[in-house]
Amino acid sequence: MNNLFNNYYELAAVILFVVGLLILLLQRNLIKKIIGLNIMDTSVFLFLAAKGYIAGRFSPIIRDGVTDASLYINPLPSGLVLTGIVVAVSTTAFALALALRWYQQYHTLDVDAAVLKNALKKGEQ
Amino acid sequence: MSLLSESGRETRQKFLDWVNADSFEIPQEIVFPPKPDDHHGHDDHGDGHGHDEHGHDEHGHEDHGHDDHGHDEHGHEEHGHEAHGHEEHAHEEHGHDEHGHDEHGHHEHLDPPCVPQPSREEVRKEQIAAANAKEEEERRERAEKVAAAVKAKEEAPKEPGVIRGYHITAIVCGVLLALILVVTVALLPQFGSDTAPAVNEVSTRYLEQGLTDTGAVNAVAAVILDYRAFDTLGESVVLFTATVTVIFLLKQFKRKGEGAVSMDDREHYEGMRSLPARVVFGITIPFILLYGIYVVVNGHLSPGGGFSGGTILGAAFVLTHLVFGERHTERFLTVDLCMKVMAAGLFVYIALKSYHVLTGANGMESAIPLGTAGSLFSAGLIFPLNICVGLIVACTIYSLYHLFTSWKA
Repeated sequence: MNNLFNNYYELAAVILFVVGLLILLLQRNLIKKIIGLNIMDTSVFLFLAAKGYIAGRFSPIIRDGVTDASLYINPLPSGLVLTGIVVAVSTTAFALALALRWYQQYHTLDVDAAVLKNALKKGEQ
Repeated sequence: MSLLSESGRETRQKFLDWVNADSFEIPQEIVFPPKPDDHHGHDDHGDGHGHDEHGHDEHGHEDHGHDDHGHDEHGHEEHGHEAHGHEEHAHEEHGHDEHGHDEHGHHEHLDPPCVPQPSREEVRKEQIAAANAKEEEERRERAEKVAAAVKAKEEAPKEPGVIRGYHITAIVCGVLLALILVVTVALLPQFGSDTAPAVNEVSTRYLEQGLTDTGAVNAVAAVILDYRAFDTLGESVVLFTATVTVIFLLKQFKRKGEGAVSMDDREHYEGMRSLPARVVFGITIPFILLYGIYVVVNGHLSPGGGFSGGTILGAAFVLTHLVFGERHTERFLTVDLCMKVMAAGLFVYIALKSYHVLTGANGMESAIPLGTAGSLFSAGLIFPLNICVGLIVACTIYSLYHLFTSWKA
């Protein structure tokens, strides 16, 4: 249990992840769903960055040609976070564009109302 | 001094209202400005297709005009047929009109500049316009009925079983997942410990050999642009693909025979009117650009690189667009130019990396000298690759912003 409060970065990341997931599941508005997705993305970045940190070491910029690995933090998670950020930006842009087209089609961003409208329209024809 | 102009503050208030509203309906007047009603002039054949767009924005339930003409919608075919019927009807009436002059004055009244004897075309057009107006009214009535039904259903109490069941299941699943993850966090190695399994021979190798292998002082740059450069190429392609997809989803292509609003006809964003904002940002934007370039070209020496520096450059372009308006920005940067720069950046990236692979067998050794560690022109290919990535990211940021802000329904 003590470890849980030492790992508070990871704990915050996990809580953010679940918050984002619940927003994604419970909100009926598409924009809010996309916001939830972004919160989940951010929590993963926080987790990765926290895993790369080693207490008392420098950032992975080689100083004065000293290449002793025990002086610097882990550079790999930082690179992975970069990858994640790029993919998150791309998926967010794509999802927002789809939401705009959705709005053009149904004139509402509410998922339930749009499904209802679609059903009524089909019933009319 | 407020940086927001009067209209800007109003828009912001509207946006806040919109965000805070429960039902989350975008107000019609923000998103759908009335379209210029110029279809009649182009519709020479009078087959009724061109008029389908009328009333589309107001209802949304009848979107024949939005779909491709006569492809898959039965309702649409019926509609076109109906319009043809009206057209024939118009012909007949026109025949009457030529003999007896009883409706003559009526037409003259509607079209003063016309010759006293209206041509066949004009009479037909008027008849079709009347028919379309009638149709439109019918359609609007039907759409209103549907809207009322939807509203009634929305306001009616939801079937409590289904809705509550879904919510309860979602919350229970979320709480269970949270518990599992929290327990996992408690079992993880301590934060910041140097004995964690993540600190293994891979990161040790990157730190100890990175400088001699790649010549980059920044170990992260060595990882993403040399050891794992193929991964970064994939990221750049993802950005490019996302931009292309957004263009295809949001850009309004002009279809033949349809009076769609093209990108050139729409209103242009004029920029901020406030003089202090223009002066202050006019002074600071060059420095932001300079800082972005600094971060990009020093990617192998200091924290930063193509991704962060490219974002700064893109933000500077976005700021230019915001402050000085669209026409000013389009003098030196358009979405088309952005796409060309991105394609060129990707091509140069692929060419450089393939050269690297061809000459260096395992991808680690190449004929390019690594230079003195710590100087600007060092680290072999990382320097040009950083510039490519920076250009791609900056163009992505700006073109996404431009596409989303210039979109009209």
